[in-house]
Amino acid sequence: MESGVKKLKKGEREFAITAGVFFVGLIIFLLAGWTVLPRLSYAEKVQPVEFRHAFHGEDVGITCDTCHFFYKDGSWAGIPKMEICVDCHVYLLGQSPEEKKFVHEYVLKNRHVKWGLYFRQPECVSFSHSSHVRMAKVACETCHGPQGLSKKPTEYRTNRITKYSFVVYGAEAPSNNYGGLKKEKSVWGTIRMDECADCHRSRGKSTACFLCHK
Amino acid sequence: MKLDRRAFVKTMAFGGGSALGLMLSPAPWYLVRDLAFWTQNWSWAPAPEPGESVVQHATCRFCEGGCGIEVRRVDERLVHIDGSKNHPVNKGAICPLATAGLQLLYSPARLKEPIRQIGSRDNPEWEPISWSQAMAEITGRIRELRGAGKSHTVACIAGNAESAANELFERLLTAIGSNNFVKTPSATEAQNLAFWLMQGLDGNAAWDIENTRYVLSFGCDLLGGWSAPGRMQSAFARLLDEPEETRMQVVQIEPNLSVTAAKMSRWVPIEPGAEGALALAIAHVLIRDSLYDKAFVEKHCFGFDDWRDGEGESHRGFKTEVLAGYSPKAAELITQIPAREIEELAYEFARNRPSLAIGGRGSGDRIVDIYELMAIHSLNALVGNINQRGGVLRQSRAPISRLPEVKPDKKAIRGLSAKRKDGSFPLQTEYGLAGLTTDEINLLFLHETNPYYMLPDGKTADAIFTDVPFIVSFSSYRDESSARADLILPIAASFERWDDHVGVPGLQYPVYSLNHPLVEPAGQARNAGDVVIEIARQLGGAVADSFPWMSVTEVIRERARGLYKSGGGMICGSETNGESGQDEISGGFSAGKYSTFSEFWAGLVQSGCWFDPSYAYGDPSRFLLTASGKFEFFSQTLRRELKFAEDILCLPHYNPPIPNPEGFDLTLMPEDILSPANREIGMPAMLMKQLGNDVLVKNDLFVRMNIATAVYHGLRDGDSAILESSYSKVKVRVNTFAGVREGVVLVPLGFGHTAYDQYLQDKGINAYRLIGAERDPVTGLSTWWATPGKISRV
Repeated sequence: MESGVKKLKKGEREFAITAGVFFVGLIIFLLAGWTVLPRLSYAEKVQPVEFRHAFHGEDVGITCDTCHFFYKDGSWAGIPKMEICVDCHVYLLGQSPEEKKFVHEYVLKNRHVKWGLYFRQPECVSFSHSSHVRMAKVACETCHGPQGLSKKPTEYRTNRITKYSFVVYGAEAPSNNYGGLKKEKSVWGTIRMDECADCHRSRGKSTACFLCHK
Repeated sequence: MKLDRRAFVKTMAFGGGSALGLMLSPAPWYLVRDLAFWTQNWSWAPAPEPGESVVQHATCRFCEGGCGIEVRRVDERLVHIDGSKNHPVNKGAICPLATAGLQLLYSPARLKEPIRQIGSRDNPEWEPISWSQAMAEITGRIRELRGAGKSHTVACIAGNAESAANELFERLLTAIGSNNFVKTPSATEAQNLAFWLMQGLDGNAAWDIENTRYVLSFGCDLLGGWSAPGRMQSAFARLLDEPEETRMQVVQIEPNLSVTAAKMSRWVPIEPGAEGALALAIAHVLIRDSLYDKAFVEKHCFGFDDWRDGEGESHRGFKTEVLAGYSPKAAELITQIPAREIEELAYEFARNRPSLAIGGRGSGDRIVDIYELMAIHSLNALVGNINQRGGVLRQSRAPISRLPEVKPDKKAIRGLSAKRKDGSFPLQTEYGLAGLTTDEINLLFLHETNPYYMLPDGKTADAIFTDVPFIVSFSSYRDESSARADLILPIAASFERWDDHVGVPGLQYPVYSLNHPLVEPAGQARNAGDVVIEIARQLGGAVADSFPWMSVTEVIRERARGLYKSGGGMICGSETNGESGQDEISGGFSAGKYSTFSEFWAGLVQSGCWFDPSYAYGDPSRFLLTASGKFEFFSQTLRRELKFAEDILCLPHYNPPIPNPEGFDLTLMPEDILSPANREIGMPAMLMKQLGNDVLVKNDLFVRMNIATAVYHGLRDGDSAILESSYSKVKVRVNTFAGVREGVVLVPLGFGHTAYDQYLQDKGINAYRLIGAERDPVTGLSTWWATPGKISRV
C-alpha cells in the first residue's frame, strides 16, 4: 500500500513538474509575445537629416502647401523633392550643423535625401489625396497626426517585414502599441485598411471594395 | 543525448506551453498580418515610381495613320498612352499597338550603342564602337565611292514616313550623287496608281467615309488597318450612335468572315480574287438599268461608249465591254455570289447616294492586279461621286516649306545621271523596291525599315543581304535587317526625338504632325536626322553646303514655317474643348491667333498637330487631269505609256487566276491579326501575351481553315501540319473556323521574327515569306494577296 502511495506521489510529482514546465513555457512565450517579439519586429531608425516641421512652419513662417502641394492634374506631390528644398537652400541659411550637412552633403553634391517613407499605400490601393483633402475637407492631422508640429521627428520605427513606418509621439509609448491591431493615439503611421474603413463608417461614407481597389 | 520517455514528455509540455503562450499573445497574428502587407509591397512587382505626372500631346508614329495621342509621364518615365479626344484624325480612338507602344520604347530589343559586325552575316558577332568611329567608317566609305566615280552605288531604303529625317536621307544621297533613295512599299501605292490611270491625279487619293451613306468595301480591312486605322475606328464607332435607318451601310465583300466582315452591315462571301468581276457585274446592272449618273458620265467621262481615235480606228468602250462580258449570271459563276444578290447590291449602291466603292484587301495593298482597282473605281464614276461629299476626293498637301535646292558638285552630277537601281516602271510615280538591282549597290543605308522581314518579295529581300557589301542600319531595335547589317546605329525612338510627318492616308485635308522629345533617348541613341546632318558636314565641300543646319530640329522648324506663312489651317487645340464631344471637325479649335512664327511654333510643339479642315467639294473637273481632261474608263495613259494595242488591256477587266499547279489544292491568304504591327515594327510583348490559344501556343502558330478543308486533309483542330507554298514550307497547327471559305487557309501576319527580343523570337512563322509576291506585269507593283498551297499532316 505504502509503495502504492509512494508510486502515486511520484506520479504526482512528475505531473507537477511537467505542468510546471508547461506553464514556464506558456509564461515565457506569453510575455515574449506581448513585449519582446513585437518590439523585435520593428527597427528604430533616424531620418538622414534632422528636419523640423515646427521650425519651418512657425519660425520661418512658410505655409504647408509651399512644399506639400497638388500638381496641376490633381495628383499629390507628397514628400517634397530636392528641387523644392533647393528653392530656398541654395546656400547655407543658418548656423545649424544639420543644415550644413544638408547643403554640403546633398544640395551641393546633387544627391537626393532618402527620407524614411511613412505613409505610402500599396499599389493595390487607389488613394487620392485630392478627394480627401480638397473635396471631403479632411484635415492633414486626421491621418498624419501632429507631424506638422513636430519639433524633432527624426526617429521612426519601421516594420522589418512590411517596411511600413510609424512615429511615436509622447514620452514612453507602450512597446507594442504601434504594431497592435489598434493603434494608440500617440502612434501615427501608414493607414491600414481597417482604419480607412473605420473613418469611412464614422462619416457615413461608402465602404464598397471598388472605392479603393479599382 | 538519450531522450527517455520522461524527458520527451517534459519537452513536449514545454513546447505545448510555449505554443499556447505564443498563441495567446498578439505576436503570431501580427506576423500573419505583416506577411500579408509584405505581399502587397513586393519590390519586384512592376509599378511605376510615384512622381510628378504630366500629360503631353504627341502623334503616334508606329504607322503613318497620324493618330493624336496623349502620353502620361511620371517624372522621367512615360507610363501611359491614350487617344487624344480632340484630335481631328482619330478623335480619341487608338489601336492596340499604340496602347502598348511604351513597351516598344522600353523594350529589351532596344539598341543602346553603335555596334559593328566583326563576324559574317551568317555567323554574326558584334563589337560596340563609338559614334565617332561609326561616323568615320561611313564618311570614309562615301568618300572612297565618290572618289572612284561610284557615288551612284550608294542607296538608301527608308520606311514610308514623309518625315524630315527621310527628306534628309534623300537629300544626302542627292548631295553625294545618288538617286537611289527608295521607300518600302506602302498600301497607298497601288491605290494612287489606279487614280493616276483613271483621273490623271498625281497625289494621294482620299475617301470621305464620314459623309457617305453606302460603302461597297471590296475586302478592305476597315477595322484592322486599311487607310488610317484610328480614323476608321472612330468613324465606325460613331456610327453606332446613329439611328439604324439613317446609319451608313457598309457591305463587306470578302471570302472569309474577318472581324471587319462580322461587324459591318452585311457580309458578302466571294470567291477569292473575284472582286474585280463583281465590281464589273455591278457596273453591268447600273448601266443596263440606267441607274448610273448620266450627267456625270456624259460630261466628265471618257471611254464609256465606243470611240474612234484620231486615225479613225474604232475602240471598245467600257459600256460594251461590261454589258458583253459581266452579266450577273456570268459573274455568279466567277464570284459564287447569286445573281440576285449582285442585282440587289447594284440597286442599293445606286439608290443610297452618296455611295462609295473602295478596294485593296487587308490594309489596302493586296490586289490581284491594277485592273481590279480600276474596276472598283469605275463604280465611283458611275455614281458620279468624284470630288463630291461622301465620295472620292484628293488629299490636299500640307503647305510645308520646301528646303532649299541641293547644289550638287561635279562628282554628284555624274552620279545623278546614272540610272536608278530600283525597279520603278515607267508607270510608277513612286519608288519600286521590287526588282532592286542589288548587285550594283556598294553601300546601303536602312532607315527605320525592316525589309528582310516584311518584303513579300523574298527574292529581293534575300538579295539585298547577300549582294550588298556594306549595310548600315539606322534602327531603334535589333530587328531582322539590322541583324544582317554591318553597322547598326541606334536611333532615338518615337517619344525620344524631334520628328514630323505630312499627311494621313485617305484623309482629304492636310495634316502635319510634329513630335518633340518627351524623354531622353535610351543609351547613346541619336536622332537619325542629326546623324545625317553630321555625316554631310564631315564630308565637307558642296555636300556640307547643302546642309546648313545644326540639327534636325532646325529643319523641322523650317518645314513648319510654310504652314504659318500659308495663313490657313489651325493648330489642334490641346485645352480648348476637353471632352465636350466634337461633332464637327473644326469645332473647338483655335485658328489664326498667332501673331508671330515663334508663337505658332510654340503652339504647334505643344499640340503636335496642324490641320486645315476646309475642303472644296463640288467641281470634279479640278481632279480630272488626264490627257482628255475626263475620267478615263479607257485609260489612254496605259495605251500611250505601255503601247498596248489591245483595247481590253486599257479597260478595267477581270483576269481569271492562273490555275493552281499540280498538287497545290489550297489558297493560302494572309490574315491581319494586328495590322500596324505586321511590318517594320515587332509586336509589343503585352500584345503577344494577349493572343488567344487558337492563334499562338508557345512557339506554334495556328492557321485557320474551314472544318471541311481540315477533314478533307485528314486534320483535326490542334493538329500539327506542314504547310507548303512555292516559296517556303513551314510547320503550323490547325484551327478550324466555319467563317473561312472552303479551300482557303488563313495565315496570320506579324509572326516568325528571328530577331528582336525573347517575346517575339521564333514565335510562329513569317507569313510574308510563305505567301510571297509576284510582280504585276502591267505596273511592276509587287502584288501579293494569296498563293497556291498544300497541307499535310505531320
